[in-house]
Order: sequence, then C-alpha cells, then structure tokens
Amino acid sequence: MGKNRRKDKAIPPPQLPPEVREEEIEFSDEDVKYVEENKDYARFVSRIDTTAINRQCVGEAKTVEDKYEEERSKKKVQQEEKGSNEIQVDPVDVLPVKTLDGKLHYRTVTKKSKLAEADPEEAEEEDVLEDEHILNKSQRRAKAKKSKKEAKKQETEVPEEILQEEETPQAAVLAEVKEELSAEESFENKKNRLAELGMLLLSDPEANIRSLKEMLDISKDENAKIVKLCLLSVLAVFKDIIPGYRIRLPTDKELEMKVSKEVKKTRFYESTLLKAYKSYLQKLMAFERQSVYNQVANRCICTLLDAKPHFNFRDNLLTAVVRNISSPDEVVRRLCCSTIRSLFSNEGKHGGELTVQAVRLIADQVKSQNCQLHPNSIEVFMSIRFDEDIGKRDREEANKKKFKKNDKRNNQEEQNQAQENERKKSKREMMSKIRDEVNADYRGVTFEPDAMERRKMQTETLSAVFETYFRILRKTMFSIGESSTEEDTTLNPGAFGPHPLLAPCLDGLGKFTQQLDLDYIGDLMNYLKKLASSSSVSTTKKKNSKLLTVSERLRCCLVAFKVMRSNLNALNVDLQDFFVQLYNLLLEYRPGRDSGEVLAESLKIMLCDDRHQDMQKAAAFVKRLATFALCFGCAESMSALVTLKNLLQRNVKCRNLLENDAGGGSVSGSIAKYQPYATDPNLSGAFASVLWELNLLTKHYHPAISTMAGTISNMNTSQNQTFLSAVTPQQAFADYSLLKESFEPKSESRKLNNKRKRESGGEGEDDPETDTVELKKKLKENFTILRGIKVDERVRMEFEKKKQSNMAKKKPTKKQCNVEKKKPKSPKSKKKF
Amino acid sequence: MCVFRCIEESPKDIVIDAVFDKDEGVVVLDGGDSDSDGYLAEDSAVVNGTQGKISETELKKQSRKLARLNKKKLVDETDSDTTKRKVLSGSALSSFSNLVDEEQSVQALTSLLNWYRAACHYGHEPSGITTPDICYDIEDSETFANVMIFVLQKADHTFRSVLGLSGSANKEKVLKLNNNNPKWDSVKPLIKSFFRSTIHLVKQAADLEITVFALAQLRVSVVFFAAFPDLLNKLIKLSVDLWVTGEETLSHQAFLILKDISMVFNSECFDACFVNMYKAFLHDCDIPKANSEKRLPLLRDSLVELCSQDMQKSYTKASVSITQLAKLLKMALATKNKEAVEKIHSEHYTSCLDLWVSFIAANVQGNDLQSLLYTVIQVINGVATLFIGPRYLLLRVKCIRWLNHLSRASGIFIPIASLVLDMLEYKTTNDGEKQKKKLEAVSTVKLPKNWLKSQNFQEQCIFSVIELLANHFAQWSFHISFPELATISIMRLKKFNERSTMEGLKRVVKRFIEQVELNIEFVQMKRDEAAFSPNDQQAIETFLQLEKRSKTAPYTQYYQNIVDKGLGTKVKK
Repeated sequence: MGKNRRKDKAIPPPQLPPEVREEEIEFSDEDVKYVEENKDYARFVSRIDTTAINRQCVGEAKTVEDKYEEERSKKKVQQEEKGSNEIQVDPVDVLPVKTLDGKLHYRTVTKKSKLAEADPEEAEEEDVLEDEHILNKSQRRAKAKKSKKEAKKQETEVPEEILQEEETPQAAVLAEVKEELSAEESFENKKNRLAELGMLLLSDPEANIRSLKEMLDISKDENAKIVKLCLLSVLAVFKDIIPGYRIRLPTDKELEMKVSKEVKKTRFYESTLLKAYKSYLQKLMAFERQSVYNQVANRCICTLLDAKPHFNFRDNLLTAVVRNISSPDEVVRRLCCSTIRSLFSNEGKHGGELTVQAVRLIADQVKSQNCQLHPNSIEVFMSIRFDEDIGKRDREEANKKKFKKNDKRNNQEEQNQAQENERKKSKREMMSKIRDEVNADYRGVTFEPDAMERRKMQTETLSAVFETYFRILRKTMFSIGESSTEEDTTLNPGAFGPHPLLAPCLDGLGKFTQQLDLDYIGDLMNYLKKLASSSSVSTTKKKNSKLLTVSERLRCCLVAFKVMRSNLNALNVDLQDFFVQLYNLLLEYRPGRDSGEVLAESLKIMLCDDRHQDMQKAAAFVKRLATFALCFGCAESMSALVTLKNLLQRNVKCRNLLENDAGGGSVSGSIAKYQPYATDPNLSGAFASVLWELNLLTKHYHPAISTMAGTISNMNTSQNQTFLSAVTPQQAFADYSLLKESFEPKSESRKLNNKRKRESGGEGEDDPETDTVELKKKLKENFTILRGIKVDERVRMEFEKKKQSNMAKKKPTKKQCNVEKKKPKSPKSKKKF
Repeated sequence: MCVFRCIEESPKDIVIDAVFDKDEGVVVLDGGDSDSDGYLAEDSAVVNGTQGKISETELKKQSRKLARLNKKKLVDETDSDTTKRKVLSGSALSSFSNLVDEEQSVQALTSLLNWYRAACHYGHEPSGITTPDICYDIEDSETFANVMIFVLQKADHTFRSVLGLSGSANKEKVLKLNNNNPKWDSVKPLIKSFFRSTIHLVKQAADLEITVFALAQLRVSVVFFAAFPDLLNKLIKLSVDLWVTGEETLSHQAFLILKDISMVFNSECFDACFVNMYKAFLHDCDIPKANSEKRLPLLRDSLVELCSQDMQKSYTKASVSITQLAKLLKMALATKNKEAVEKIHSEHYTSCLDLWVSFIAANVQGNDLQSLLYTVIQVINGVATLFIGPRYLLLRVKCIRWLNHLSRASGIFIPIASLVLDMLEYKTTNDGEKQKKKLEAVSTVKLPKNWLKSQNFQEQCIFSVIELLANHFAQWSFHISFPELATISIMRLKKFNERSTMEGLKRVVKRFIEQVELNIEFVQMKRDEAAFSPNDQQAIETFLQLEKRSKTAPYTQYYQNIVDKGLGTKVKK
C-alpha cells in the first residue's frame, strides 16, 4: 500500500511531507515490488499532475515563470473544458453550433449518448478521465461554476419567453424542439454536476463529504445513462477515498465523552462516508436485480470488492459476487470469477477472511443449486493458495490425533507415518525457530492475523472446498446409479450439460491432493473407481446423456493416481482397476470430442511414471498403444509412441515384442495367443504378439512418427541404451497437435519430372473423329438459316426504307413512331407487304 | 477483419499476381483488331462480341420460324440484288480448291480465304448497310459447307507446304521465318486471316459440332500463332471460356488447344493458360449449376493434366496456393474466427483443395512432392477436425476420400480410422458438444438439421463408413500389420452392431466385419509362418505381394465391390 497511499494523502496542504529532493527518496524493495505487482493501481501516479499539486500545496511562492505557466495552463484548461464536455464526439460536431433552433446541437448529443450507451466500460474510462481532468483544473472549475449557473438562469428564461408565443403554428414544433433541448440540456447539466461533485470530493474529501449524498441522489434519475454514469463516478470516488482501515462507528458511550474538534470532525466524516457507502451499496444491490443495470452494478460491486476487500459491508459485496458467479451473462460471470480469483490470490488485502467466506458461500451455492452451475464457479478454487507450512503443520496435528485415536490401522501405515512425522518434526523445529524471529518483527508491522488464526481459516477453507468436491462426486455417482428414479431432472440436464462441475472438481482434487485428509482417501478412491468404470457398467441403460465422458473418466483415473502418489503410496489401494479402465478407454477415445491433453497426461502419470510395473500389463499396454497409434491423428499417435518407447525402455523383457520369436519365448505367460479384444490387460496375452504395427507406422505420412517408429523397432539391436527420452507424452501431444503445425511446405531442392514425354506418343488420339458428312449437313443447315435471316433482314430494311420515304412525304412524325413500334414484332407483319 | 479479408482472397490473388501483367494483356487485346491486311478489310463492327453459345437457343427458335418463311421467299427474291458482288458458285470453288490442292497456289488460297472469311462471318455482318467495294456472297449451302470444310482441313497443310515446313515444326522455326523470308511475307497475312476467321467462327458458331471441328483444325496449326501473340491471347481466352463450359467434347477440345499452347509456348503461355483456367475453375465452383457434379471433376482433371506439363512452375503455384489454404485453416483453428471458418467450408476452398490433392496424387510418383504432400495431408486433417458433428458429414467424407486417394497414390500410410469411426456415433447427437454448437450457425452448405434424424441420414453415415474403411483396408489388406490396423475399427463396429436397432444396417455392418475378419485371419496365418522381425524392411515389403497381385481373395473383391458402389452413389445429396 505504501507508496501510492502516501501520495494520496499528500494532497491536502497541511500534511505536506518535509521537502525531500527527488534523488534522495529511497524506496524500499518491498515498495518497489508492490508497485510492480499492482501496476494497475499505481498507474495513476504517472498521470498525476505534479504542477497542479505543487500549486496547491506550495501555494504562494510563485515566480514570474510560474505565473506565465499558470496562465498558459489555464488557457489550455479552458480549451480542454470545452472539449471535455463533448468528449469523444466527432470534431466536426463539436464546432459551435449552439444556434437558437438547436437542431444541429441535438444531433451531437444523440451521438454522444449512443456512445455512452454502447459501452459502459468506455463510459467508465471516460469518467475516470474526466475525473483526472477535474483534478488538474480544480481551481478553474470553481470559478467556472458560477458563470455556468448564470448561464443556466439565462437559458431557463428563454423558454418562458417562447412560451408566450405558443399560439403560432410553429408552436408545436418549437415546443418539441424545446423539449429535446431541455432534455439534452438537463442531461448535460447532470453530467456536469456529477463531474463537479466528483472533482470536489477527490480534491478534498473531508470538506466535501456531504456532496456524496447529492451524487447518490442523481442515481434516482430516470435516464439510464445518467444512472450508469452516476454509479460509475461514485464508484471512482469511493475507490479513491475509502480509507485503508475499517470504520467503526463510535458507541453511545463514546459519543457521550467529550472529544476534541478534530476527533469530532473525523467522526462526522467517517459516519457520513459510511452512511453514503451503505446507501450506495443498497442501490447497487437493487440495481443488480434489474437487467438494464445488471452489468454496471456488477462491475461496481466487483471493483469495490476487489479494490477494498477490507472495508465495511464486504460480506454483502461478497454475497452478491458469489451469487452471480454462475450468471448466464458471460461478461458478469467472468467479472465475478476474476474478482473471486483475485481475492484468493491477494489474501494480504483482507487477511484471508474473505477466502473462507467466499469458499463457504460457493459451497452453499453448489449445495442449493444441486451442482447445476457453470464450471467456472468451481474453477476459481484452483487459485486458492494453501500455505504449505501451515497446511503441513495442520495436517500433521490432525494426523497425530488420528494416530492416537485409531490404532486399528495396520502397522505398515503407522510406521510410515511415524517416520514421516519424525522427519517433519525436526524440520519443523528448525523452521519454527526461524519463524518466531521473523514473526516478532513482522507482527509489529502488519495487522495480519496470527498463524493460529490463519491455520484455522485455512482448515475451514479446505474443508469447504473438499466438501464441495465430495458433494459433486456424490451427486454424479447418484445421478449415474439411479437415473431411473430421477427421471424428471435427468431429462433436462440443465444449461451446463449433464455433469458441469465434475471436470473442474476432478482437476481441483488433482491439484489439492497434498491437502487431502487421509481419512477421506479410501472413500475418494471408491468413488473414483466407480465413476471411472461408470460407462461400462451402465451401457445397458438407455440414458446416454447421463454417462460420463471419456475425458471425465480419464480424469478420475488421473486423480486416483495423483492422490496415491502425493501420499507416497501410503495406502494400500489396488490401482489395478484404473489400469483396466485406461486400457479400455484408449479404444473409446475420440479426438475432437475428448480432450487429448487429458489422455496424454494419463499416459504420463499412469504409465510413464509408474514405478513397479507388472510385465504382463506393460506388454499389454505396449501392444495396445501401438495399435492405438495406427488409428489416430499424429498428436495422439506421437504421445502413444513416446509412452510406448518409455515402457520398452524400462521393461527389457517387453522388447521381446520387437522380435518375431516363435511362441513368444519363455515369457509368453499363461495365455498362448494374443487376444486383441480382451478387456483386461493381464489377460490379453500380449507377450505372444509381435509389434508389426511399427512397420506400418514407418510408412506414416508424418516424418516424425515414421522416424520414431523406426527407432523403436531398432531398439533391440542398437546397443546405445542411454537414449532416455526426455519428452513426455503431454509434450509430444502439444507439439504435434494441428494447432502447432506450421503448414508451410518446405522448399528444398527437389526432383521434378515433367510428363511431357507422354505427350509425344498420344498426339493423334486426342482428335475426335468428326463425321464429315454430318458436319457438312450441319453447315448447310446453318447456312440456310443464316441466309434466311439475312434475306429476311434485307427485305425488312428495304421495306423500312420505302415506308420511310413514303411517310416522309405524307405524315411526317406520328406514323414513324408507329412503325418503329411495329418493327420488332415479328416477320409476319412484313409478310403482308 | 481486414486481415482476414486479405487472407480470404489471397489464394487467388497471389497466383494472379504472378502473372498479372499477362492477364492484363489478354483483356486489352479484346478490341485490338487494328491492322487489317489484304482485301480482308477487317470490319471493326463485329459488335456482338459475346459468344455464340449464349444465343444458341434463341437462334434455334428464330431459325424454326424463319425456315418456314424462307421456303417461300427464297425463290422469288434472289434476283433483287443490285450491287456488284462476288458470288461463289460450286464450280468456282472446286476449281479453286483444285488449284490449292495441286499447286499450292497462293493466289487461289487467298481468294478461298476471302470466301472462307465471308462464310465465317456470314450472317453476322451488319446487314443493310452496303459494304464498301466488293461484297462476297455464297451461292448455296453446299458451297458454304464445302468452303468451310476445305479451308479448315487444308489450310494448315497448304501453309506448311508453301513455307516448306515439315510436320513437326516448332515455335523457334516459325519465329525464324519472320526474318526476311519472302515466302513468309506472302503467307503471313493469309495465316492471320485464317486465324481471325476461324476464331470468329468458333466464337459465333451456333453448332457444337462445327465449333469442335473448327477447334480441332485450329489446333493443328497452333505453332503459327507464334507470329501473332495478340491472336494467341485471344485464343487462350476463348478456349478457357469454352473449356469451362464443361460440355464434354467441346471442353475437351478447348482444353487440348490450351494444352498445346502451353506446351508449344511453354515459357510465356503456361502461366496465362494456367491462371486463366484456375480462375475460371474456381469461379465456376462458386456458382452451383445443374451438372456441376459431373463437370467439376472433369475440369479438375484437365487442369491437373495441364499442371503436370510443367512441374517446376506448377509446383511453385501449388505451394503458394496450399500455403494460403493452410494459413486460413490455421487461423480458423486458432481463433475459430467465424469468417475464416465460413471460408473454409465454402466450395471454393474445398475445390481448391480437391484440385491440389488430385495434382499431388497424379504426380507423386516420380516427383519429390513430399513436403507438399505432407502439408496437404495436415490441412485436410485440420479441416476434418475443425468441422465435427453430423451436419458436416459430407465434408468429412470428402476429406477422408482425399486422404485415401493420397495414400493410395503415394503408398504412404495415413490413418483415417478415427475420423471415420466418429461417424458411427453420429446418431447420438443429443449430447451437448459445445464446439458443434458453436459452429452450427456458421455455414449454409451443411446439411439441414431435420435431415439428421431421418433414417436416410443414418444409412448414409454407415454406408460412408463402410465405403471409406473398405477403401482404407483394401490398400493395406496384405500388409503384415493388417490385423492390428483393423482391430479398433472392428471393435467399434461390433459395438455399433450391439447397440443399433436397424436390422438393415446391422446386416451390412456384419457382412463387412466378417469379410475383414477373414482378411485378418488370412494375414495372421501367413505371418505366423514368417520368420522375420518387424524391423526387417525388405522381408516385409515382399510379404504377401504375390497374393496381393492375384486379387482373387474374396475380401479383395468385396472391398472392390464396395468401393465401386461408393463411387456410383457418390452423387448422393
């Protein structure tokens, strides 16, 4: 907060900081970092008009140059003022057209209002801009106000004069014009008023705090544009003047006590501010429900919450934001989501309390909406940052308790945990020593809640997050399992698809596996197992739409593996089922419908990273991946081949698949023949097969795949075993997806043969055999026709000539017209002659 | 927006740019009948420059009416002429033709050409206004036909014999004649007159056969056009116009002329020919016509044939054009920009792609087109993945056909199974596919929604799947890894059969599965006997080659059957 706030406060003259020369100011690293992180907030610094501030603060000491400077800037300001009234209007329209009849003037205004209407965002900017102007020219403005009022009086007098002449026929028109004029005038006036008030407030909030109320009153206007403008300008004011602390209104007791003038003044200021703020919020909440103002109101709410998350009434703001987090309006939804995200990621502003609340509220909403929300509303959880240290300590303690509580757990686990705890303990002790020192320093500076508090909040957050996640899982399970009972809801899967929240939920679970309580893991795994295999279970049921998609099921497998891995495989859960799922899902995968990234990630996590692999299983996957690569696009093929290579590298015996040993040698296993259609990798008998696919893959049109297939098929013979590939399946998938394709044919030197030789031989054949007799006949016919036309034409011409000459003698003009009309009719008319 | 505008048009623009100056020349030349020679006072009043083709029907109607009149009138009105005119009689013609035939008399040829000119322009001169000095007239239809045919047939031969050129004179020789050769000086105007008259005839002729005949005769003497670049340009333009009509013999004949021109005058005229044809072709694609299903492939094939004449030039053209296509696609893929997506779904784009696919397929053997081939495959893949959803069935089928075609022509492996198998599940369209929805509003060429539920549509889906897969499998049916290639497809098809309720379709699918399984079994059996490993390239190359050539296996015939049937029903819609 440091830097910019200090500058803010520097505006009123009395608290002017001691003169320090620019070069001597030292910024602490913290400050610099803060400004860098929050460039958006600091941007105004660059726009501050230092001369204006100086003028105000330093005041009297004016040199001649300064005066000159001032004169000039005044002039400029004057010009700008004119301009600012007509911001962003076509310069042609700005030309002085304020004639009495006012029509031209009216045109400019409609244009402007359209502009304002078209984009509230722009309007806001415009407004802010205006505020800036105001800041610069505050003094000038004050003078201008008076003259303007006078002008207004004059203008209001004019209509009265006109009123008297109402009898004239132009009266109606005049009245209309006048109405338009006054409407536009009042619009203009209100706008100006808003600007003035805002400027006053910004220049000296303490003195002008009462103006807030007046500003707010403008929002009762009927004109929607004015209301929007008002809301936005008040927002700008609040954003600026709200202090960095929460206002606590004095109790009655305190009020009774005698206090100094200063304190009274401050109290008054604070209470007015708070009152105004409250009524503003009430207005916002009311407007938010109206569709016209929905976006503006939401923008205001989000901006306020984002900028001043510490201030009073933040709970109301938060509730409003969360309520709209799944709004069907995309702009509003985005806004709300990004606000929540920024709350999560900038916990320093509100000490983390809002995080807990927000998560809690979202969880409640998920509950009340029965998981039918937009995916975005859950995706925001991904931005929550759980402090590793606090989290760890937290979990440890929980574990300890558990450790004491239930001794039923098997020994292995206990040992594991004990070791873990010991290790962590020593670490923790060291850490805590350091932390104590740091904390002692730190607490003095910040008003952050202490570690205990934070830990508590974090636990709460976590529990809310996981509650949401589990609710979604359970809901999905339920809807899959008993689709028949829930007929009416299943018929309308809602606007967001059948399982809108599942994907982000699984992603979240994958991310927060570290924080997951061991107690839940067993249940979680069961859920995941059921979800992952949901499709195969319920194929008999007709409800297709309720089934999970391939991506969702892959995600389930993924999460299961992630959970296991992050818990150091502490639990003795059999992951075999997930392998079976993956084995079969490979076949159901459809590019375009299913997410290839998820597939690649599952290949990476489940196959490449798996440490102890069953040979049968590995061989089965090798075979399946090779088959898979034959059917799909290059990105999928490439990631499959990368995985395949990885598997072969780690399982030496699997390389037998590269050789055509009769009967598969000694490792062939129990199944003697390869069963390509088997659903269980362990029963596929893959060891009995040979990777013939690789040969076809070397003919693949994509050079990378063909070389990859080549290297794999030569793996056995080449002695160089150090070529561990660094590329992951995900990387391969991303690299070879069509989006990355450059699509540029390389222009290398190439061998091109023209096909001319072919030509010399086939010269004669191309001539079509024309029947001369037939041709002759046709030509004759043609001739007769043509001659007919010609003769006919000639006759006609001659006839015309005669007729014309005749007519020229007798009836000069009229007949001629007749003839000309007749002429094109038909040959029949001529026949008579 | 502006960027897209640029790119949207660039596929044409860039190619045009390369030869723009020439293109302009053609246009300018339209009215340039300046230097007249000999008696043949070229009338600049050939007003109706439009092709004879257009007025064909009109003329016929008129002719019928007039025919009736003429019968009566011709008899009594022939004697009304007053101006002195040269009337060609049958006897005069035969004597002239004898002179030309036996002695190569230039004199006789000159007068014959005059008559010929008169014949060609017969009926097209503005009548009524008395012609300057001499007026050529023709006695009767017999003579008219004779003079036409005689001149058209013999002119080239006579020119050559007068000039002493052998049959296979090339451009250089003709150009050499230009320099101080008295013979040439005497013959040149004759040739020019002949060309002019014939071009006029071709332009105006009402009858298809006459046009074709004239074109065929003109083609023999294409070499002589070297001396008349203006006329050459005219001829190119005319031929392109005729070519694009797509009427079989006419189009073919016109194309042959263009091909000859581009061969004989390679350096100058190939670009002009190609660009004009390319533009005409693409322009034609935009306007759907009744017979375009048949015509477009015809035009495309001839264009490809032309391209194959000069690989160097057409390679650069193809490269530029394909890059443009790819750029557009890339934009569409990355941004889902509405305009770009729409552009891709247009006939324009697909026709252009179709052209280059055919070009590459025709020339990939013996030429190093690998990079073009690769890019085109990626572009097609991109198009196929850009448009998902049942309403784009036709486009997808087209894409896969291209891929199959390319694969077959080049012998490389292009996986299509996943693209094809998507279509199996087209009937379950209820589940919300976001991308589909997004694109749905975009195109107008796609299938209407109500089609999707019809049984016909589903049948079409399945038949397409079977046809495309059969095509794919037929290519690799004797490859050692055929069993694996077919595995996933067979599994999917089986699943489909389990779920489907339409007995008719199930039967078709079942039969297909049976045949493929037969094939799998056969290959599996054979390869179990094999003693080599997957990395033994040579052994695999020879594996089952004998069987492949014999083409007697039942499934081979089955595939062939399906593919043939597929071609038959291609004109679906």
